[in-house]
Amino acid sequence: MFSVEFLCVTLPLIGAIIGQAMGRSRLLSAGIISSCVFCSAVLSWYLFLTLQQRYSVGVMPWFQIGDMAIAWSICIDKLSAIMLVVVTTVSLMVHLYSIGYMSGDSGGIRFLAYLSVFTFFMMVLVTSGNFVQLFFGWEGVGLCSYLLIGFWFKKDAANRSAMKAFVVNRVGDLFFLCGMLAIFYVFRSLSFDEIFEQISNGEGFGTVSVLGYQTQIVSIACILLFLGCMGKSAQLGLHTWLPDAMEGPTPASALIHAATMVTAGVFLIARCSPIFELSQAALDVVLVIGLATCLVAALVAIVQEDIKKIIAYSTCSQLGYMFVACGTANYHLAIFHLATHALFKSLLFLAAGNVIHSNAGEQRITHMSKNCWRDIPLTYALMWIGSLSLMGVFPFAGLMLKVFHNPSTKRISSIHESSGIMLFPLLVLAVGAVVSGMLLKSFWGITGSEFWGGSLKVHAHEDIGLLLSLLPAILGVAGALLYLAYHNRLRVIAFPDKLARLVHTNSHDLSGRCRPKVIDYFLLGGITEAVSTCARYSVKVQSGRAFDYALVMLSGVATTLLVVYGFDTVILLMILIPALGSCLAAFSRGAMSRAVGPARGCHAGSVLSSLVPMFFMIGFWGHGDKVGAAFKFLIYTATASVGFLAAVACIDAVANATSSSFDDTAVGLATNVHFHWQVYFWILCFIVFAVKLPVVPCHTWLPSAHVQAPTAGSVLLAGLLIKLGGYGLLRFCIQMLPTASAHFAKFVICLSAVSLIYASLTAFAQRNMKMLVAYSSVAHMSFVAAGMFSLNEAGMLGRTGTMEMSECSGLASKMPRLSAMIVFFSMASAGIPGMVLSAAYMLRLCKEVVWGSAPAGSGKFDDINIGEFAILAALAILVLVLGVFPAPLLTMLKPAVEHLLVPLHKLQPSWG
Amino acid sequence: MSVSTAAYLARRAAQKERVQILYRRALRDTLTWAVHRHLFYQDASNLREKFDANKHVEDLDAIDRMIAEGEAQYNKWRHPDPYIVPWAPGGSKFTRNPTPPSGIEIVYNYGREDND
Repeated sequence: MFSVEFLCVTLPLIGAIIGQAMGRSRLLSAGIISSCVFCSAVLSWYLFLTLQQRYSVGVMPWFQIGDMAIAWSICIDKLSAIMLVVVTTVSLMVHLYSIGYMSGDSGGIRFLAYLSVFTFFMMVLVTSGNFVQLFFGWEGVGLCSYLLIGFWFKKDAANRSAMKAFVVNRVGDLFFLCGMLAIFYVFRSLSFDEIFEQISNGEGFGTVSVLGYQTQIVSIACILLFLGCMGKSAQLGLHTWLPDAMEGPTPASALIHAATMVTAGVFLIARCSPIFELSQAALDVVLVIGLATCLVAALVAIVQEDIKKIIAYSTCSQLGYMFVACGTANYHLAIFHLATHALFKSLLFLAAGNVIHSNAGEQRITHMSKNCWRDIPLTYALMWIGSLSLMGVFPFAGLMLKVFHNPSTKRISSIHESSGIMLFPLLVLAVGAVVSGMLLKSFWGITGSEFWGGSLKVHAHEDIGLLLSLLPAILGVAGALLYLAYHNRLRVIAFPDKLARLVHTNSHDLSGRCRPKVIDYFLLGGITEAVSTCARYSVKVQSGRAFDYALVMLSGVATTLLVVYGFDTVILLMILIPALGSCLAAFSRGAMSRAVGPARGCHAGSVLSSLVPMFFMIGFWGHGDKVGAAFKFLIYTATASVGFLAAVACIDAVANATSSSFDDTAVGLATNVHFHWQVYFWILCFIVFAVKLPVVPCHTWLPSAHVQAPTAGSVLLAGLLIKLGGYGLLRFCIQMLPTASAHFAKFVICLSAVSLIYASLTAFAQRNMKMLVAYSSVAHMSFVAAGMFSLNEAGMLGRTGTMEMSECSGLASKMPRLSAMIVFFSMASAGIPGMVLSAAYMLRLCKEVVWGSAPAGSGKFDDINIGEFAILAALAILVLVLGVFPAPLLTMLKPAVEHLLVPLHKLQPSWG
Repeated sequence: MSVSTAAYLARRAAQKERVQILYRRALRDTLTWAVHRHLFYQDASNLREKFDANKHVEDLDAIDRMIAEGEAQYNKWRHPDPYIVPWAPGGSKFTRNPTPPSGIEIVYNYGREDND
């Protein structure tokens, strides 16, 4: 298990944990973290140089679902080896640089730890042998990116940018997940080796009808995967997070937003190159999006004034080039460009960091010290090397040089060259930027198919001729001359004066007459006006009232059901559900208005023993409108329970089962009861459990009960009580009434989707922490996540005495231990449900509560003590173990779940 | 002073205030738009000319109309990413986590040190 490969991947994580644990000694911590990354880099180089052929090292099994077994493994081939070298080398340089750059920052060690954890996740991503592990690394780097962008957590802009980056990436991740599912649908496997083997065997893959057109499923899968790559690699449409990500510290931008994480999309396409080869349509999409990004991002970079944003847009543009290479099926060239780009772009970013550092934090190139190149000549030279590499000038692998010659009248007296530890990494990267291209091409032969050893698809090239190869350089020079002509400066370089005047005059004609009338007014103005008009009208649909949205969603469900089941069933359901909801609501309102006494409540509670403790907990020890909330809770759930009892009694009466076990009752129902009656029983049971679960629109009791309940009550409510509904659904609806369950399967899926979206949106709009958690519980069906969250909440209420998020912001600086736990469980909770929406509301909770500046007079908060921290840490470890090694739990559950699903499997042909 | 005169003066004073605010904002925005300093000087003098051209207007309603037009124009052309000095609110260095210089410490119980 502890092989070279394993150590190479895990050393950065080990270093981060040890370094953070020894945080009191700053120098020692920095030394440990950097040493681990150094060892990892050495091992990466060793693996790269000694690699003969592709092999895989198994670490441990992960989980098995049906026939699909997924294991943790480290797959080493040329593609992953070169990525390992790039990631660890750049990471090491950035670590060294950060020691100097963050020397004045109190969170410097935390920063280094984040960088190391990021390096670990990136290595997990590039060495994965299956899609699931790759997705784990994919999400991990996204999480680290979030933490690093929001590193200065007291800064509001940084928090907003971090949240934006995470949520936009989540949009891409959702597509990636769908792509993975499509791949599984096609190949029945998520292991790269098995998929590539099927492709090499030349098996045919099916088609599917999309809007009446027969489309290859593989094409859909590839396009979905590419949409995932667009988010991570900031391609046009999902690129908006990258410029904002520059709010993070510059070394983080150098490592994540230039060299490594943003290239994960390119890596994924190269890794899946045999799959993409099956679909020309997908490659065309990659090509078009890559080209558009290339051009648009470069144009936007020209008008930027923030030095980091210029480089960020340039990164977008360069990533577009890589996707163009992928779109033309030159995956190896994309990786070649990726490797060289990582070196010179990180060089540019770190050099930009030097410039910012020496200009007292000024990032606007127009406001920097006048001609500062004289004061920082070494940085100036390094920036030249980086810029020439970026431009592709031989022998190097810009726009930034403008920084050093800016005409500002301001002169900063304290401007100085950076320290040795910041300059050394730049020198190493500069050497890499100059020689890496030649080394990779001439020495290792990266452009040939022998180098790659089958790790990606390499097509033979035809010689394109001298003229075509020189064309970019010729066009570049021509563009520069035209620019000079436009500014009437051609005489400086002895260009014919007459031609200069001609060009200049014509260009002025263009800008003077044609541009304002045609381009500005009709084209740009017209588009802007059209978008603005559409937005003005479409915004009226957004009333901000949850009921309106719910109505729209229910209309969607009705339409779907109309299509799926036909008219009659829809009418029945649409009448039944609102009618029942109205009855319950009227009953509960009436009961509360009469201020029902405790005797009646006790009477109802004695029948339904599971609800009594919760009723008293809310009613006696709650706060605010506790009596109202208690009775609302009781009336909703007790009514559901009465309905449940009635259903059980009826089923028992008509089933004529030999015993009262679930199995025998199911058999009795199937043989003795007509299908229509099974349907009625199913509807009754489902409504009961929909209230208990709760599912929209039967959910309104939960938020009020949550908010008014004492913390312990909320814990039981979120962690246990509402899970009874899920259990009942499984036991009664599915096990006892399988035929009716199959009949209503699509309806339940639709209703769950509506419930998920509605509750997620409502959670996002909440200002009270407990309300947010309550609605997230509605959206969540995960026992662990909700239970964990409740405990988290328990700590919070006792400490701060408030649940209003606006009143307890900036906890990170006051209660670091509790804050760390909140962020951890938020991330655990932002797992799957809704993907994008759950991330949005959970990150909002973090932003409002944990990050930001603590308000004045908030010094009363005491952090959790070691014992409490240990309890939460144990739960956190449980969450991690369940995520990373769920096999024992799944094995334990497997027989029970299979037993439950036996009746459904028998019905599969009729409802699948 | 009659009521009508007082109302007139109050309205003039309000208009003067609005014009000053508009001019200051427009001038600052011009500085953000101009990449080079020499361009800024030219733009700034053009802006001043536009304001000076109407300084003799006496009609209160006409002044109101012109101010509204000016404000609309300013809002239309306002820079989407205005320049903020690094250490000011919204700047790149604002609310980072620097270690306080030696000799400076945070007093958590300010004013009640004697009771400790």
